Amino acid sequence: MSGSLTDEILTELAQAIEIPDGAYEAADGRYQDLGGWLNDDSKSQSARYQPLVSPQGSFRLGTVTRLWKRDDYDLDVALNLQEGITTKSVTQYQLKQLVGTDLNLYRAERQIQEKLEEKHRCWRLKYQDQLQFHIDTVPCIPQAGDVKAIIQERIIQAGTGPLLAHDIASYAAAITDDRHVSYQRISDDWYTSNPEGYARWFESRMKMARGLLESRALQARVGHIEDLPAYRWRTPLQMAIQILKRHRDIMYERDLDRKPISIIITTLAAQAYRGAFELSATLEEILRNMQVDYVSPQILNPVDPRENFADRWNTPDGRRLQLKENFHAWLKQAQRDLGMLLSASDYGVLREHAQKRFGVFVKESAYGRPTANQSPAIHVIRDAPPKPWRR
Amino acid sequence: MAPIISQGALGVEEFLRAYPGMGLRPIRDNRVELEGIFAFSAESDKHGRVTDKFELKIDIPNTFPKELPLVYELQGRIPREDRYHVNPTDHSLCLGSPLRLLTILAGVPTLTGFAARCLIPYLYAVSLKLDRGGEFAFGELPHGRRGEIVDYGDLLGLGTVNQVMKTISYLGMKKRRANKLPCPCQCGRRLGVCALNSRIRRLRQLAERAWFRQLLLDLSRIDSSKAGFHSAVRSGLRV
Ligand SMILES: [Zn+2]
Ligand SMILES: [Zn+2]
Repeated sequence: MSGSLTDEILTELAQAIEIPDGAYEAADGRYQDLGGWLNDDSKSQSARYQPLVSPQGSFRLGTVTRLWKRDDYDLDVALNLQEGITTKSVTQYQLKQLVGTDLNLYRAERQIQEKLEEKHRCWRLKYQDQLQFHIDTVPCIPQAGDVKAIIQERIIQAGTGPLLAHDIASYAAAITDDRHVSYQRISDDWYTSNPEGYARWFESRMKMARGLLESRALQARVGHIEDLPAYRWRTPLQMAIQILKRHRDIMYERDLDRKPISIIITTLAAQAYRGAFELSATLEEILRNMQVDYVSPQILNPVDPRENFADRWNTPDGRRLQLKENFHAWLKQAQRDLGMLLSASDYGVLREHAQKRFGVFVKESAYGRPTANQSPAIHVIRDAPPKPWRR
Repeated sequence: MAPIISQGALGVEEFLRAYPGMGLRPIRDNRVELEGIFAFSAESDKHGRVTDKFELKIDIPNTFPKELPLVYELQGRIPREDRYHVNPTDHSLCLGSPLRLLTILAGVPTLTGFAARCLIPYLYAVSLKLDRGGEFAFGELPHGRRGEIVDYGDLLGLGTVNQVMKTISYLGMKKRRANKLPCPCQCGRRLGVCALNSRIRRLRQLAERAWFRQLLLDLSRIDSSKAGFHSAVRSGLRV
């Protein structure tokens, strides 16, 4: 099949797993409403600490995939209280409660039926409207300057340029976690999280296709690509990651706790990307370059290399679930399945494959006549085959 | 590289290249499971060519090829009935008697060997039967232990139930001990000097002695019933 035809089919695949029109905008509306309310000092206690609500995770990166046998999207937001709170003045528990109180008031005022649910690091609000999703709000404060400096140094050591490293480290935040030993005590060793830094790093990877992004900006009539939210960049890297995640969702639909997690897929794919413009070339680059050492797996968090995403593989839980073996099994299978889409010469096989492995029906009409049938090798059954039998 | 999934010995890679419709399932309990569309094309002199595909799950024990994979058909195209040789309990496909399959695998100890020599002949015969009715293309065995004894008689070139049972009991013993005993083929010599011994030696490589001892127990249970004997006789074995 010709390269452009393969790209047409891959693009159709990517479109089919993109979330419904307006979903990102609806999510934007949700967190902006929350941000507005939290900044109203007649209503919220947080208002005096300059709360900043920003999306994180796949909604921030523009890599959300359409739900596959799951009931709702999760929209992760960071609620950063930017001024007036430090690890010296409040405990993690106090910060979590402060935010929880506000969110409960917000819930009552917006008449959200479901109760606010407490998680280890966040509060969960469940919305019930046409677009099913819940918001996980992670309370946080800016990380201390000395911690940022350490992180910045480690990012540079891991190979990122100093300018970008500085930018990334500046977004490092201190979060609460009720499993932390000093959760209820004053301590300066809160866990670090840096979703905005991660998004900046991810954007830097997408910007390797500079010419492509310039034309996107032109189309959208904005001066710089940064004037558009990342979900409107629609880069081949984002689409490739959506395709990989969908492949993972299907392969692990009955084994959810064994699946390779999205942050690992996203990080490895972004690192493997070399700036291709076409989706097919992007997938080829990613599949060729994406690898993890089997013996001592290392998937460093690009925005905090002190963290190895593969560490969990070696915990008792990770070993029981065979997370390492499952990651490699998934990667191998993804390489094979995408290799098949990229090289398929038989249209029928390709459609079957798109459906089975990616859950997408490729329309028949779009690409004209099916090509000649590629039949499997013929086996000759000669000497006495086994006779069917059972005990 | 990945010991579990790349396993050159199992030949998973080679198998998936040959049958790209099949894919890896998540790893559980160190087992490799493959699932997907198994497309094949096969022909025999007598019945011609068959091109077909089935949706299958293949469960490969980590002791393969010492132990046999289990194969399941997922769409229910193959009626789950005895006459199609689908196990009534777990719905796995009955591809053949264990020793027969192990014997074949010993010659081609990879997953593609298993597919070509054990799986495809079964699917070929099922496909023909679904299409045209009639008998299984390459014959079939009576179900239960009697079918198994008939097949082992065939495999060993032995004519009676007693001979088969005696041979299996020898397979459960140490080689040196068995060789001194009277040969089960009733040639009147010690086993050690009879031609049957070369066939026995080959079988010894397929499984441990304990496995044969268990097999003997399983087979004796039904053999003590009259029905077992009579049907074995009817299927061509003398008592
Ligand atoms: Zn059967
Ligand atoms: Zn003899």
